[in-house]
Amino acid sequence: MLHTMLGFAVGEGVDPGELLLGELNCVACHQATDATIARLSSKQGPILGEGGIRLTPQFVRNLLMNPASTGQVRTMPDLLRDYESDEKAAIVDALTHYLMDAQGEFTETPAAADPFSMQAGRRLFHETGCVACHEPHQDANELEDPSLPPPDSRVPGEFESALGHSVIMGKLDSKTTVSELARFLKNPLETRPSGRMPHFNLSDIEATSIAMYLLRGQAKGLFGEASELKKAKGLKYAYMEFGSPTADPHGFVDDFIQHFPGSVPDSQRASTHFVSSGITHEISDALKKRQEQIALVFSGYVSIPADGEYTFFTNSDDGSRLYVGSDLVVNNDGDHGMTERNGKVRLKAGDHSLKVTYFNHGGPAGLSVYIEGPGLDKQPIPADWFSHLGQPMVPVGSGEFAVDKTKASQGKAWFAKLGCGSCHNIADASATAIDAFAAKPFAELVADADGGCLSSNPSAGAAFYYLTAAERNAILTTLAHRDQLAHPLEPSRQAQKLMTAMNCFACHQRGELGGPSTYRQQFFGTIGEVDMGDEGRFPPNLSGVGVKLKPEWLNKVLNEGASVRPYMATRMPSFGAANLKGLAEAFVTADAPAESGSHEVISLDDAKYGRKLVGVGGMACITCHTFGKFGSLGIPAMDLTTADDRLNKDWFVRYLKDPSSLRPGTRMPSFWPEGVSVNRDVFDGDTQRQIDAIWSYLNLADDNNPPTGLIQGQKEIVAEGEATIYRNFIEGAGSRAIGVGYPEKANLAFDANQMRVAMLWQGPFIDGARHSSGRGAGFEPPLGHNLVQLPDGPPFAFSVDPENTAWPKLSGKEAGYEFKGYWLDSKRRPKFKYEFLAMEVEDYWVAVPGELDSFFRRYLTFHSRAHYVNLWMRAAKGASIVQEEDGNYLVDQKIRMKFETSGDEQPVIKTDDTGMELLVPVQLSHGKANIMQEIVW
Amino acid sequence: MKTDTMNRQGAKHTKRSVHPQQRRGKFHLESTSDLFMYESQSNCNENTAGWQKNKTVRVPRHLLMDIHKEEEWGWVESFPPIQQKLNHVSEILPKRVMNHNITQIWKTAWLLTLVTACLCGKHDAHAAEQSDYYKTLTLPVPDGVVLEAGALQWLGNDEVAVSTRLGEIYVVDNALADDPSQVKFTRFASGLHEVLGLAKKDDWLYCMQRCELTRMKDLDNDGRADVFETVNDDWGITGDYHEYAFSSKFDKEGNIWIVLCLTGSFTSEIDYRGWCLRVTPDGRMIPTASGIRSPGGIGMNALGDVFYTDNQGVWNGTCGLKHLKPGGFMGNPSGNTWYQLTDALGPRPLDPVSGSRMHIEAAKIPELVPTAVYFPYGKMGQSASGIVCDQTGGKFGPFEDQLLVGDQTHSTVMRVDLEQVNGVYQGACFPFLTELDSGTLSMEFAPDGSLFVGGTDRGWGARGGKPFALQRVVWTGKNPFEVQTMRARKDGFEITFTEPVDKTTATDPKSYTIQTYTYIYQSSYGSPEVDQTTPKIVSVDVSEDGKRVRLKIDKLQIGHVHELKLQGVRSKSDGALWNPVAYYTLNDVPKDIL
Repeated sequence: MLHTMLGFAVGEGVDPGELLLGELNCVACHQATDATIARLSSKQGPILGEGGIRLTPQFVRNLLMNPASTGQVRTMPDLLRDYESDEKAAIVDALTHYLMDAQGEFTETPAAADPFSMQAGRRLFHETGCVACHEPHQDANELEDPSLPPPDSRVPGEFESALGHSVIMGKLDSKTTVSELARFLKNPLETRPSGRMPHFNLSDIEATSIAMYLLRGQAKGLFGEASELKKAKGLKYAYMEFGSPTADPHGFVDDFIQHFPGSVPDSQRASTHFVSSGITHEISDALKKRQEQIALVFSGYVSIPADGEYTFFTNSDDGSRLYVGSDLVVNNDGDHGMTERNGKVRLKAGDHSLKVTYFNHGGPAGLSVYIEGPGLDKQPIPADWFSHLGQPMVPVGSGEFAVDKTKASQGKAWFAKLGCGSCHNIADASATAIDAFAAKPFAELVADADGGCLSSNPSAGAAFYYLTAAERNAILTTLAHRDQLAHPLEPSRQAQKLMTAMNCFACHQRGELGGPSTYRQQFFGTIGEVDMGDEGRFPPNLSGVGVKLKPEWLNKVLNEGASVRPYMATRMPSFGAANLKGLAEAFVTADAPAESGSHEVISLDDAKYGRKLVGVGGMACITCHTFGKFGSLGIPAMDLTTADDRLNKDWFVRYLKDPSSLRPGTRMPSFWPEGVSVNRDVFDGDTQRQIDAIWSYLNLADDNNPPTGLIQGQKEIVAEGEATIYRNFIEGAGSRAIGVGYPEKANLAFDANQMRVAMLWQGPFIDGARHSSGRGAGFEPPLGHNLVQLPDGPPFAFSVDPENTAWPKLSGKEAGYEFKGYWLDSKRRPKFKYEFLAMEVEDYWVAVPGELDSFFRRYLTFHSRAHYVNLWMRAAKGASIVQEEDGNYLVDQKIRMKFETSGDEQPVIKTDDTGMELLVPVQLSHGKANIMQEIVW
Repeated sequence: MKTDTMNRQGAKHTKRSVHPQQRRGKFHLESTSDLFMYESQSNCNENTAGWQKNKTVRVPRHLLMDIHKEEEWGWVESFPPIQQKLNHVSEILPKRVMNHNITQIWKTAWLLTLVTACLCGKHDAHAAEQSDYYKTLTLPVPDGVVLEAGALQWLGNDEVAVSTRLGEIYVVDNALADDPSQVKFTRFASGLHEVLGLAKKDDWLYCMQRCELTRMKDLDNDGRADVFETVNDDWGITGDYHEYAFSSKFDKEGNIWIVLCLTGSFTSEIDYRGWCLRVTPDGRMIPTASGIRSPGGIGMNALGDVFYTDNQGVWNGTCGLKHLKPGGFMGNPSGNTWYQLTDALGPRPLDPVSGSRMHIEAAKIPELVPTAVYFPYGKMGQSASGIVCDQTGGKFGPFEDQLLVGDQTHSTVMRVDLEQVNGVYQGACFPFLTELDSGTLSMEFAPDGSLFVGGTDRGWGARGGKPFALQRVVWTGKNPFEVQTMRARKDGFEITFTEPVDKTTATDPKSYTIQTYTYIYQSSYGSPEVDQTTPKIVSVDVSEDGKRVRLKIDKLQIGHVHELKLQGVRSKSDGALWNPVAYYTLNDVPKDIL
């Protein structure tokens, strides 16, 4: 049956009394034999003083006055229960001064409240595994909502049955500071060596984000209370790098980038990670730590001195954007060299939120931002106009506190007298030297002693534990047979006891026990959408793990944590080698692997066949499994090259023959169904030999010898003698893109969502490798050079006054466009067909060899069932468009356009805040019109 | 004479040194005849055409000398003309023969004789083998062609169009030719976006691209399409690789039905992801059903009702065959937000409760169409794919009007027998064809009643192991002894067989075992088998003609798969069942049939 002891669900096979003796650290005071101490592997109290986490005096005082009041785990006894309240208050005061003296003063600058970091912290808290033990603050699907849950949102126990047991953190707001909590989270084992709170290998940013989230109550202004968040000088910035093989997990980078459009190109999102963040007083690229593949965002407020129209400028290489409020005022986006763009906005005097995003993909980098306004020449925005929401986060209830040395020395005496040092290490040799506390040795404890810790009415001076009757009885039962505690536990029970004490069962199932509670399952997710089902999100079942994993690997995982499942959001933390001593061995003994029937002989010759079997054309394991530095062709299932480090060969052989017998519900198919190989090419289908060969290969394999079919080079699609079409996801041309490569080495991509040619480029057409390998995920960019982008949005619009009408934004189906397909001419060049309202358009592009590069002639034919007038086509958009003497138009000093139209009206150059546009009249005559457009670039 | 049996330790890794005799079995002289004996020593469970376990193949004695000469000849690769002939031969040969021979054969004449002997050899009536009933032929794909066959469409008597995941369409001429050198591939179109549906009307070839339904034709008769018209594209695509689109053939009204996969495998992020749409002859789109997760194929039964396969995942405990009832909700609510775009299906149905069972939710949600047939995960397959109805008039064996459904992971074709009970489809699935070369995706019957099967394993591994394949399965004319149909009765099942049963074993309740289970209907991925029961077999009655068995059981479980094993049933001629198992999904119990 299951007992609940101190909140632990204790399964059959674990003595609850023994567990309690360990968790309450009874032998810290009641001296016991080494054998008993070893068996109990007791939980130590947190380290105090210099070596610990700095606590606030208000927290310490409150805790000591009433250890149960803060909702802490009930392992801290009340030692002052029988003192008169005045006297108790004086002792607590002395102890508080002593502890404050011992730990030293808080000297750091309080962290500035940052809602974004808190949101990131919230995600990490709910997704990396914290809520496997601690109580979640909201449902998983609410994590998308940007508003944070108020600090005191959930009543403990509200949904206990589905939730299962939670380790209560108590009220943290008053306990410590953001930086101290972050320090604790970075390495909990340093200050709580017993490993109940394990080490998650958090980065600095992750630890700070979680700390800021957990202490969000220290920034009350965030939660709709009377006080506003205070502003501080300077802008916040975040600096990111992309193009790295591994990105930060958990979507918070992604969330962040979504919040700052224009910062990281979409195609680079998955490979982006944070490098640094902080406060800056100027907007420039000076904060970058390398030249290429970088992004910066700045956010905060700009204080405008007077009402009026202001012009903002960004000058950048590559793209930048500037937002005031929610308006995109300067759009200088895209891959380009140093380019200045500007935008105007009317502003009232006062603070306006400001956001600047910037990235540099490759090549030189640069960013400057300027402002110009009433009585204000163009200049960088003055530093003292910047501010950000930055309320300092100070522990709740903080006031002046000065250590009183006299009280501190009294406190030191009490610390010793009360025996605090039995559980709490403190880096103060003299404190533990005061030998004033003595308890009965463990062996002499009398079960029913009046007035002892376990009696129903402890006497003055005895520690008072908040135990239930069942807990007390459990301890008494165990004490009655305490002799047995001098012998080590039998391995399977030892494994189960350690798993209970360390709460491994919160994540892992072993036998009938454990695994995430029904309510908590929602928090176990994957990093990105990896399409791996529950195997991708739940930590592995540990039934039979002693047979599965090699002891060395088990120890490595237990001591150092694990990262062989990079797709799993929940992390396997490390618990400290000393704390799980013997667990690996206990697994191995308990699961009793049969004598190995497989030979661990590794054959180089066999490995060659193994390579073939693992590769494409064999069993194609790499369709799903990654292989060293190589990604798989499909989902990122576990790295095959780690198999020989981790797995016992016997298990490997059994698993390959029948995966679902060892991992029920696995999506791993059996390639040897009923022991019979599906591959007859290798070793005539001899199952054992094939598996031996795979094992040999995996033992010998390295990055230099990946399986057949894994490395796929570029597969350039070449237009040979005639045009060639490539319909797929093309970066810059949308999800319904139609790429056309011409033998003249000019290329285009048509966007059939918006009915426009989106891009032109020269040289090689496109690389087909991405979409022809694995699952073909993602957008493929053009392969060649000299890429130009043509205007985004709808191609046609009506206006009686085109020079003063904003071009409409609505495009595609919503604006009345329908794609109708294409015809191929004798050289396989497509003539695109689409409809706009009652008008049919044929859009035919011909590449023409030029002196250096080829260029395009575009023939547009219009047939309309309605007589449209004032119809315009937007041919170009840019920062500058000028008509040259020969009548040609030059766009952004780069693209030269020439038109011949069936009508007599001339193209118009329109100029407004956002830049310039070249508008060409579509003049219907008897329902027909023609335009020839020549584009040279 | 007797040569060495295969010596594994002695096997070296250069082909030249491998003696065919050593690799493949042992030869000896049959004392009673002039034939030379070959005993296959393969330890495999052989289900495809070709070699059979412990099968004896007779080779005329006069070839004996040639076999002795093999060592003098060396390896066939040294003789290009012979190799070429071998390639030629391999293409018309069943896979097993190929696998054993193509890389290892040493002499053309010997091979041909051997093959003839093998294919024509007398079979043991007691060992049910796929090759006894169905031969698998592999079509020769020209070098450089990546034929990841997404869809098939028969064009003429001997001509089939094959579309590929890489967006090409090939016309295969002489596809039924016995001589593979007559098979000719012509590229009809290219540059399309992952074509997973083909249909033909008049001169037009309709194709389902991810982005649109297109029709194309060849105007100048140069064998290549030159006009590509968009028939309909009234749905969204985000650019997520998972947003597959499969289309049906034309229905009775001339509509094409389209099933759209979700965005990724969990969500529906743009218009109509997770829906079935149909496109009318004049190109209009009619929203038809919601609740789809990840389709693997779409097809019609003999009545013209449309079905699709949906794969294990969120709200799908295991893969299944689902009936696309117009107006229906197929069970996955991720895409139900798009009810806001259309009135065609009425108001948005109630959301199902996660963690429930489908039949419990179906009782509350009138639009929910329960899965017609579950394919138990791992037992039947892992990725259900293409659907085709056997309407060959008996040219493909005794399964007229039944559905054949592919499984990509297992590289198999399953068989499905459906019935309608109280207006809802349900029925049984059975193992059928196995050991295809690649992951089964598309299927289509040829005019001669043979089955064409296209496969791919790109992105999703498959047992077959070949990256792609186009194969043809031909019925040998011999009836397998199989469960032909399994139909629900109010207190059990009625089972028909393809051959009369042996009444002694068939009436013995111990010849059968039955267990039931279902799946959790939930928002998380897949489900284990749950709610297991083991009904009691109350009585077994066999019809006079021995082809019908009535099982009464205590008791049927609505919403459960009934896994029936017929391990003890023998045919009248004492043969074992080829596949002694059936999985019946019981959505409802018939009220009035006794």
